[in-house]
Amino acid sequence: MAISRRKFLGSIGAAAVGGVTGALGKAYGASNKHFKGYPDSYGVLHDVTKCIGCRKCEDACNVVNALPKPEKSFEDLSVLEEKRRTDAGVYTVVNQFDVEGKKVFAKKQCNHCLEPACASACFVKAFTKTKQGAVVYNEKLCVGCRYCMVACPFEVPAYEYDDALTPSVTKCTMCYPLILEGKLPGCVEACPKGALIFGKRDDLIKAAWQRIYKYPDQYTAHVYGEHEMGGTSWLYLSGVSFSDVGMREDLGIKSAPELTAGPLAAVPIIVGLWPVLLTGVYAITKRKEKIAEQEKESAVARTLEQAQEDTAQKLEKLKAKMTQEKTSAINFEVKKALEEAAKKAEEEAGAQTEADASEEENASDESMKEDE
Amino acid sequence: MIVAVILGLLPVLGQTGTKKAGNVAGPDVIAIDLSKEMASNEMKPVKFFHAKHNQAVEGRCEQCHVRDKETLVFKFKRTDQPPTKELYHENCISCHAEKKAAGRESGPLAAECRSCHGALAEPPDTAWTKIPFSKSLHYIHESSEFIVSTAKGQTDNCSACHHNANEKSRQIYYTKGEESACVYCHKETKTQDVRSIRDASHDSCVACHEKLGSKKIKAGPVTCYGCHDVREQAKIEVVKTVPRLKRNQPDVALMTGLSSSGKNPKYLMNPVAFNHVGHETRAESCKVCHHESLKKCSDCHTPAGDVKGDFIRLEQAMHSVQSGQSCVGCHNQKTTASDCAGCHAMMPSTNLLDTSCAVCHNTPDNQVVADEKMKPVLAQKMVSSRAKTHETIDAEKIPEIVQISILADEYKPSEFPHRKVVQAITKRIEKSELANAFHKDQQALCMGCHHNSPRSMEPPRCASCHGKTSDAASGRPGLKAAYHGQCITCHQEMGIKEVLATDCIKCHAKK
Amino acid sequence: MGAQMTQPANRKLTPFNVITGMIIVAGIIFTVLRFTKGIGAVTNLDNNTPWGIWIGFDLLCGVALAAGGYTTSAACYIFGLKQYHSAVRPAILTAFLGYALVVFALHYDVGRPWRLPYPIFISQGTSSLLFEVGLCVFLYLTVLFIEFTPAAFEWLGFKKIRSVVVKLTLLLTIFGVVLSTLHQSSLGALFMIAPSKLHPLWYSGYLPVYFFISSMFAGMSMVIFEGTLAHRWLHDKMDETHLKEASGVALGFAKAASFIMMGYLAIKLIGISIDDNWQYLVTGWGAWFLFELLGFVAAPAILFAMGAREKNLTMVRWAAGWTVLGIILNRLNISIIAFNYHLPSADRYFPSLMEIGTSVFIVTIGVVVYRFVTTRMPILHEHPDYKEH
Repeated sequence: MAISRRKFLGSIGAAAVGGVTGALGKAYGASNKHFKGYPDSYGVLHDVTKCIGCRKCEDACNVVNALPKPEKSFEDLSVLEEKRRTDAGVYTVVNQFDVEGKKVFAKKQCNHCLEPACASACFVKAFTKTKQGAVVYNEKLCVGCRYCMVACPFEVPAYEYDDALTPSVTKCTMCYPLILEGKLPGCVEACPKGALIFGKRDDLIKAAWQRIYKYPDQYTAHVYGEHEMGGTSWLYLSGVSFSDVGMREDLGIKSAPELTAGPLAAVPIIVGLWPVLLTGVYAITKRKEKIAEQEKESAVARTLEQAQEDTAQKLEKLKAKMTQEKTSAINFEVKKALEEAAKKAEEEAGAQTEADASEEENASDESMKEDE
Repeated sequence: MIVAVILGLLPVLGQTGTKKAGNVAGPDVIAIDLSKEMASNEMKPVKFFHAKHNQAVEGRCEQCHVRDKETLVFKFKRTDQPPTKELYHENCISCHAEKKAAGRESGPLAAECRSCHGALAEPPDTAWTKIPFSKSLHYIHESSEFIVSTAKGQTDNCSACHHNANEKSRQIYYTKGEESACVYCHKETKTQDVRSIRDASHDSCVACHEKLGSKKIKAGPVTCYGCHDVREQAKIEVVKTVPRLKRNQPDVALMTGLSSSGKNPKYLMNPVAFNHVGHETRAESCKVCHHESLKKCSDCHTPAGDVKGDFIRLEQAMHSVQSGQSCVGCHNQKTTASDCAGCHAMMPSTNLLDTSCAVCHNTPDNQVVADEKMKPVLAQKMVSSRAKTHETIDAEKIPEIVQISILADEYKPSEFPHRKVVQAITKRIEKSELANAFHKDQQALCMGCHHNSPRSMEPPRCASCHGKTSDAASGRPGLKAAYHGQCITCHQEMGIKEVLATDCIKCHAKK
Repeated sequence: MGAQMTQPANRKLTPFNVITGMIIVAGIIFTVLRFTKGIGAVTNLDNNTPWGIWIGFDLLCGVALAAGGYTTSAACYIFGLKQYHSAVRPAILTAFLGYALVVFALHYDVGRPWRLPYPIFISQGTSSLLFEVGLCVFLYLTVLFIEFTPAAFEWLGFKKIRSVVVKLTLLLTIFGVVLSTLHQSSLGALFMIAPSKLHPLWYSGYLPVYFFISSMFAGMSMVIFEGTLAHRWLHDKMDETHLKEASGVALGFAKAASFIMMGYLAIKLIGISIDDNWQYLVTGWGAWFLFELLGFVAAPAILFAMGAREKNLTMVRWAAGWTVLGIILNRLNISIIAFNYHLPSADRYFPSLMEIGTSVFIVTIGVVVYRFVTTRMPILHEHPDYKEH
């Protein structure tokens, strides 16, 4: 495989950085930052053993938030035969579970996490974790991307899919306006059994564990929400295992923002490094091209020079040869001419001698005559 | 790509090799695990469906089990030789092959290794329930004419099952008056000298049942689920009043604990006059309290703690609230009965009121009793002097109707039939000696609802302590939650089905 | 007279035009429904599954397959491989159209599309990877647009401004690679926030790396694939250089893609072993995972390698198409199929016909615009006035 060295180096470099940032991402995710919640923030303790499935909390929520009335009234307890989840305009539901022959009821709604996945996921900051502990939604900013619904591990936010132009995400608000006034959330106020207690989250955790110590046979020794997903403001006590009442026990204690902190941390590194690397590759490429060009040129020049030298030599040789040839030709001609001349001279000499002889006779006659 | 697809589908297809368990969902799955006997063992333990095979051999146990002097040995095709792979393979597979050749349904054959050694093996799941060998069951055996004594000169048949063992000579023998529970020696796992309780009980009980059964005598079950299935257990006859077991046990005991030294030694706590015979009828069997041996508790559970007692001190052995074997623990467990739970479910079990101490530590005289024989006498005196009856309050003094109007908002005030409820609760527990011992009189019952305040005929209003909203710091319910919590929880715990928790208007009409 | 009338009509009513026309009409109907009755009336999305194929296919696959833009321009301008030069413009056009269509598709999926500029201009949710995706896509779309404009300027005859833009090529290419790395990986990182909802074989801390690396060979395969289609249907628009270089581009990319795909396989295996997820490979999901990995990454990689060695263009083209399918399968697996794997089947999602129809409509628009541009502007050939590009 003929891959050029520069290409290879370039891709190795890119891969190495990718791996490093991946590893860095993991290391960053394992940092020891731990948000314990705003001090004195509120929460709600839901004691599942006390819930009798009367649905008064659902009714109160509907009234307090002016939500549309459902088809079946809240006094209709037959709806408990099917498991329900939160829906558009239904901020909370009570579900019935059959555990070892006994009926157990549990309320489900937004858990108002300390580090909410929805707020972390929202790209327009439409969710805010308030200092009071409630996680509130701002429908004036929401674009409707529904990433919050993907992110929420408790499957809580619902969407108004049937609203064409102004759909919003809906979820429990912990009755934020009410708790600012020092009042109780609607569901807490309505619960006849005290299955919901509102107060400072730290107090509620203490109270929850006290209850577990006081009645060890009646409760599972775990306060759900104390640590799950980094901690939630809604805390749960149960007499049976939490998975038996529809609550996932495999979510872990890492908050959602911690899960994405790694990739987010990689972004500025890429912005800083990539241009340098790529420009570097480009520069190296260009340099190689230039060198190749130069080498080509010098090779061409050398070849040209060589060719010229060769030609000159050849020319010299040819010249010499030609001169020689000419000289020999001349010599030959001269020789030939001399020979001919000699021959001619001989002939002439012979003829001359005869002529001379006759001429001498004549001449002498002549001369004798002339002399007279 | 085709190769990839096939390779990819193999794991899925491979799982069809294991045949599903039969429809006998019960305690019949036995794990055949030779990992201890075999040095290298690649295959997973076999889940052996015993009931299925019972059916296949049409109840003829000898097809797989060897008889040793008329008694079946419940090991596979051997008496006590160690098991080997070849033993199982040769015998199991040959039978399967025979059945297959006969054209009948058969188990896996020679090449189908993982059909027995489950491809994705889980531990054998079983609805196996331990069978409690209660006094009633014991009496059925004790009184059976078909169970005869093996020891000479005995009128009762204890020696048929009970024995002692000499560890050195590895012999068993019988001594009258030293019978005790099997589990005192035969534990969950076998040791070098002692069989496990499972093997011991199967070899003794099931073998005997089988022997009698083959002689057409009505005897106990021979199948797994016959003893270990809850439904079958419920079918076993229960003898209501079992005559007292004769094991030279005391009627009463004086529990004394540590004493001071010096000239006038005194017990450092009020001794407990313990009504042993009274407790014998309450417990399912002696093992409930005498969980390791029939000795006195303090023999192993010393005040400071001893290795014999697993370093559980005497105080813990007597008072531990969570344990089923301690006094306080057992009493606590009894309060979960529906007759009691209406009030007791809402009381923290960790609350040991100091007034309760005197119920058991009821001997006022701390003088050390020097003569051992005098102790039971003293104890008997104390036990007999205990009041058996339950003082009741004059009915007129109990308010008949209490109108709870403090929270009337959406609903009208509740007209609570106070006297009726008090009398109903009283009626449910008036026969319970345990309840009467601790409640002393009917007025104590008031504190079930009128709690966290002193005994009084005019207890404080609930609103004195329960505010409008539930308190986060203490977890104390608000007034509405307190009322509903108290009433509804009591109804639920006492099983009062006529008053549904969600039936609001039953207790207060709508406005 | 009659014959004359049908002549021009026939010319416009080609099978291509008829079919695309019908799809576009249907798409307009779906659009009207979506904006009058809401998303629920057109899709099968619900509260458990907020993202369906409009995100899974239109967005994720669209962005992955439009990666040919940065790979080709990087090969040509940064790595100096001049033999890819003729492939740059078609790749940039595909990428530009791809990203433009992604944004177009978002207008359907998002509840209030007129607020799409909010995260960039009004309220920046910087803790969100979706913000990262949005910002980078926004910037990259701008980059692609600028990279595309020289072709348009040549067509329109704006010589001066064209020469200005051309001078920015290297800068834009580098910027493009940076932005592409960021948003391709961030699309993968989107799913890192929901480990409880994505099957462990697909969920990994390396999701961003997987998405980025796979986008490289996705883009290259797409360049080969759409080059094949263009050769078949737009042959007359191609000039000599283009035709001459085409096979070199295909073989070169085949080699590169094969190499990168092998590396991708390796890092996928590393991902499984780091999380100790081997036990999942022998389950039903494991079989599906292996099917995707072996059947749609390993197999085409081998085919690419063989085709490149034997200089067999047919093999290379098949491998390219196969790889494209593999990318689509991978993105759909992560966003729809292995997502919410824990829910009972009654609660699982399958797209509605109108949802699928809308996606087809969006792709069709892309094809139609591509044809419009390549048949008029100097994409597949060089403009005679600007030979010295």
